[in-house]
Amino acid sequence: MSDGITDLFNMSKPEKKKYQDLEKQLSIIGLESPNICYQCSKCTSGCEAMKLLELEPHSIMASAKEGFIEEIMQSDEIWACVGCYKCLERCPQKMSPVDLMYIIKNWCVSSGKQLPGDYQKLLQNILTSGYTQSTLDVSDKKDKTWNRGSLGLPEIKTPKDQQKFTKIISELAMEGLK
Amino acid sequence: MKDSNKKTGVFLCHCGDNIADTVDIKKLKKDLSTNKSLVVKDHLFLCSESGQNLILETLKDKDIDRVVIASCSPKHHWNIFKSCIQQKLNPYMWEMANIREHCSWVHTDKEKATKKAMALIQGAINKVKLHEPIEKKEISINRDVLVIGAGIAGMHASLELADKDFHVYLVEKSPAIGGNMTKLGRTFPTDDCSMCTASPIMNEVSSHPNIDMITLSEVTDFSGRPGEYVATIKTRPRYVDPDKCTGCGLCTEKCPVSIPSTYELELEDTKAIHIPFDSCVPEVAFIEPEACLKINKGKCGLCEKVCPADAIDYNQKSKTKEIKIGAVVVATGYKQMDLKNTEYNFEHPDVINGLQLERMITPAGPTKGKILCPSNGKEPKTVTFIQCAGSRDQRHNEYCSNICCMYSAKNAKITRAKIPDADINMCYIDIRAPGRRYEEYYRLLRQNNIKMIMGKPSEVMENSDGKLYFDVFDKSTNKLLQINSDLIVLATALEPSDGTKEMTSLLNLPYGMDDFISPLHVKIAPVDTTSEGIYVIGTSEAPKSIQDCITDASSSASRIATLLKSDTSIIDLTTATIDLDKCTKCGKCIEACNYSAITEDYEIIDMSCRGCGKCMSVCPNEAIEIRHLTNDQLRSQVDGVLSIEPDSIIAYTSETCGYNAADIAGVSRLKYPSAVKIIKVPCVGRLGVNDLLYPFRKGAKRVMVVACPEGLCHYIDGTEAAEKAIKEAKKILDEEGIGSEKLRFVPIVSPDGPKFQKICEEENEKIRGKSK
Repeated sequence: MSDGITDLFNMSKPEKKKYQDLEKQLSIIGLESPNICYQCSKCTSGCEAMKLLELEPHSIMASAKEGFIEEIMQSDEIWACVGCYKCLERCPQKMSPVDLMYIIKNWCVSSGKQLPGDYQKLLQNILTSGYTQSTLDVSDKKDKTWNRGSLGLPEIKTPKDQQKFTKIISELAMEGLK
Repeated sequence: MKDSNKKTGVFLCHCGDNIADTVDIKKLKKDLSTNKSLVVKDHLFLCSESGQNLILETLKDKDIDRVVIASCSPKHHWNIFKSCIQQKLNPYMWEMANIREHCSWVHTDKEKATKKAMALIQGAINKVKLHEPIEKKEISINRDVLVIGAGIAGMHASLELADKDFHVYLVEKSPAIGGNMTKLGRTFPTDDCSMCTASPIMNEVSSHPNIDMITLSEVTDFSGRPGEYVATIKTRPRYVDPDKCTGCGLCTEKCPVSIPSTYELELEDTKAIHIPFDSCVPEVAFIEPEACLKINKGKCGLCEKVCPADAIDYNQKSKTKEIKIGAVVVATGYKQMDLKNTEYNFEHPDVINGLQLERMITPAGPTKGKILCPSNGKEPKTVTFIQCAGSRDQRHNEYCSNICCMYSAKNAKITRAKIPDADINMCYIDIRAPGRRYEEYYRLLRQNNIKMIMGKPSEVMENSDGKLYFDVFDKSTNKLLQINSDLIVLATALEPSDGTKEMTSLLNLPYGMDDFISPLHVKIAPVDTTSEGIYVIGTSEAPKSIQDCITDASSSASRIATLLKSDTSIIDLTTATIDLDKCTKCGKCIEACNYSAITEDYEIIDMSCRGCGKCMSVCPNEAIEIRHLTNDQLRSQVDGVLSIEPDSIIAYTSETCGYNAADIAGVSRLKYPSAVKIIKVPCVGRLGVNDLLYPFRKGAKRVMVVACPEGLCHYIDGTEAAEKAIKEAKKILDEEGIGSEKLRFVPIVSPDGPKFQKICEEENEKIRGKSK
């Protein structure tokens, strides 16, 4: 019997089981198989993370549908996604690279993979404050400084019981992985 | 049966040794001969001349009024036996028992095969005993034709029909004929000028003695039956006497009211009174009533004053007339999708669609043949074509619009010729060039220094100066490119025109998810519709090229010439009939019929009925029946089979897919258990809940419904109807403790003999398992 496709760059083989898991996970959130993607690269054309961090959602889709999922997990690329959901909104085939990447990110976490540094910082912020980042003061062209107060925005609430908050958030996060 | 002296002739065929090797013909003959109401004969080859003579000789006995032929599949020799028998009897007073493909070729045990053959023959005898002669009916045919829409497809169909001496009413909504083709600059793959091709056709149409060209008109009412339809044509006033108007254009010159030109796709203004376009047919002015000051406010009247021919008539009124026709051609065409409020920024004046560019290319168009940015009237330095705008897109139109790759290739080439130093880009997903000289044409495109970018932009944006730009990831270079483009040309999706949608509902034609009109069969009946005598051609069926429209048009003319070949048509009444005493007028049959063959007064339009029997399955009182397979006939056939072998599996098969698959299993000599007995129905949609339960009532072990898969039904949705009936029958089987699993639906395609074999084995395994 032949054993099908081999990636000659690193001699790796497609992971059929993982691919099926991926399809299953996608179907739970109402999405079709990545096989449907016809590689128009419209997602990448409009990707916010492409310009700065060279994320190519269509390549992720292509690797995923060929079954090279470990390769996606090993690269830091998917962590560049900012989750703006433009790829889903514009996709002519109703694919969602962003959701596919979330599924694989969850797999990375549950398999204990070390996350990229910036992403860890972001998670730390969520654990301690519930926000992805703390708000900063900014200056305009006339050097005037603005903050939430001067813009008339309400002050941001922070957890009263830091430990309890972190515990609850962690539990919530872990629940999603079970 | 009514006359007990009457007998049935039963003819057993040996088929050489094809049947006789496995089926004991001698025993069959002996057993059957004990029944005094049968006259039993056998022959080595019943289909041969001497075999047919045997049948004819036997039928000289006036007491024999019906026949059973036990031989091969009816798919094989039905017509031979039919033409033989009809020399003596009504051509429907006989039945065939398939003891070759469904028996001798699929079984090895001679005893079992002989018993099964007996069961099949007894089924046929039972059925044929209930046959009534099916008569012919002469139907009057009106040989005039209505063609709706005078685009290239409608014009060509009209000419083809008119040349065959049919009188054609060609109805066009616009003030001039020609349709979208007249708007094109040039056409692929020859690059010849579109009007140069269309003009002679338009002139021929207008001067043909057999064509009644009716512009500014729409079909507003429609009724009747194939061969005798009635249409109401409403004609809007032109406010200009076409016989007097010389097309001089003086009125347009003096008219004070400017309006955006719909013909020029709003790239140019025109006047309230104008001639639609250069060299149009008829080349006569008309007034847009909504814009005209005289008609709306009683002021002005300038055109009347300046007209040297005295052709203006503000008092014209709408007219309606009723016409009688035998057939209809729907050629109502397409429109360009409206891409406003999408990521393509179509609101920007310099984002245009392909048809607008065609207008610019045309020497007679708004820019006199120059490609210019609409925003500033300047020649663009960069022009970008974006393909698949709204096509191949699940959010808009799922389908490929078919012609965009080629017309954009043509337009890019023409752009290169008109602006030699321009940067020209084309963003595409795939280039589709399947057609005569298309791939060669694509190569020509690449010789013109057009930058082909393999990728689709996410959105078209404008910078603070209002200039257009977009980002696109080019898969061939793996680079994200930012492209500033003065002019962007979208390959906009083609959608069914408003007229197409109106005709869909007025003529009650089925349509797809895409709103285009569905043909009767996408491969083998591409211009027919579910209504006999109504044909769909050109882009009202799907986006397609001019050459495909022409093919459609000729094809529809040929179909019509067949249908309307004489003033009368003789049809067999293998159609439905309603017992009005039983009918409660619930309307279910009318709703179920895909061919509009049942009128509101519960009369069957025999010309429209295709005899599928779907109406029977939904009738709560069994008041409607098809003459060629009544309820009594079908059930009596089941009785006959089960009287010989009660432990049978009844396989109801659709005449096309299911029955053929079983035939293929036979031809391939695939063996399966003899418990399976095949009973043919025209379509499984014919089977009501009672038909599905009946075999169980008579002792059958299991029932299968072997049918064309969903979407492949030869009568559109008989499969779905059957599945519905099966669901209901299953409920009853469970309630009665028989068990719903004993009724099985099997979708199958014609060539899949192996699948037929497999399911027969599976089903048989289940009875054997039970009996253990």
